[in-house]
Amino acid sequence: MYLLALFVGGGVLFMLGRARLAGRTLQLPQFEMLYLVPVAVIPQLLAFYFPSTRIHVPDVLAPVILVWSQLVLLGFVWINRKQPGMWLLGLGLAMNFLVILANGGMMPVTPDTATELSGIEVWDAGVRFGPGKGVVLPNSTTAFWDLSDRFLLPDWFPYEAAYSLGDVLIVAGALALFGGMSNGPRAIGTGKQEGSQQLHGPQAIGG
Amino acid sequence: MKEMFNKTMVKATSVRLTRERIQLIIILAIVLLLVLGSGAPSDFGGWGGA
Repeated sequence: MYLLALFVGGGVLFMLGRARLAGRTLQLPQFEMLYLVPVAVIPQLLAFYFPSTRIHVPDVLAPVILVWSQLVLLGFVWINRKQPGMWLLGLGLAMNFLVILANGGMMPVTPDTATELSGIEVWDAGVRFGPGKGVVLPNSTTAFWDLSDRFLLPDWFPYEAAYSLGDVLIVAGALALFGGMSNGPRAIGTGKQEGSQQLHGPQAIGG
Repeated sequence: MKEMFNKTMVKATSVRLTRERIQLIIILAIVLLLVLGSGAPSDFGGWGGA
């Protein structure tokens, strides 16, 4: 929960703070085909995240679900590419998708990284890394190794995880999206812009 | 009892959920899902930072 809660909380604070400081209204993006996101992500939640469901998903099916899901998300990002930050998020997603696709449908993690995160000393190549999206592969046999989950969170962080360059771009893109939402017209104005919904920033939550 | 129930209900609904606020919550949920599905970090517990 740590990273996502931190990210969403930080993004919302950034968005509201920016709108307040600049005296602007919030401008909600008008996503097209919004339903594609839950359609893509719910299978991932069932296959990789919820403990009660993921145990029923065979290893052979996991890569199929991940590739299909990311393909649908790529479609969603492409359809909505004109929204702020979406091209950056899409680039990160495409980088993750490329390395996942090139390595059998799962995100590669090196044996050293797997040991660092799990405490288990020996990892065989090709073994799934826990119940998540990762597969343990040495650098020498990993296609597009630079794009794999090869970075570790700093030691002082209260949560251990590995992330990729694509993940960094995805977060940057999402923050740009939040920034775009805080970039509406001045709060004093009452005019509405075409194709957007506006909220008064300081009143958007808890008002 | 009924009066108390009504008072509680009024209090509970005093924070108005306007259409725009609901849309904001939906957009935040969509961004959250989008980030989670696009590239959550790898961890051994399988929660990927979620």
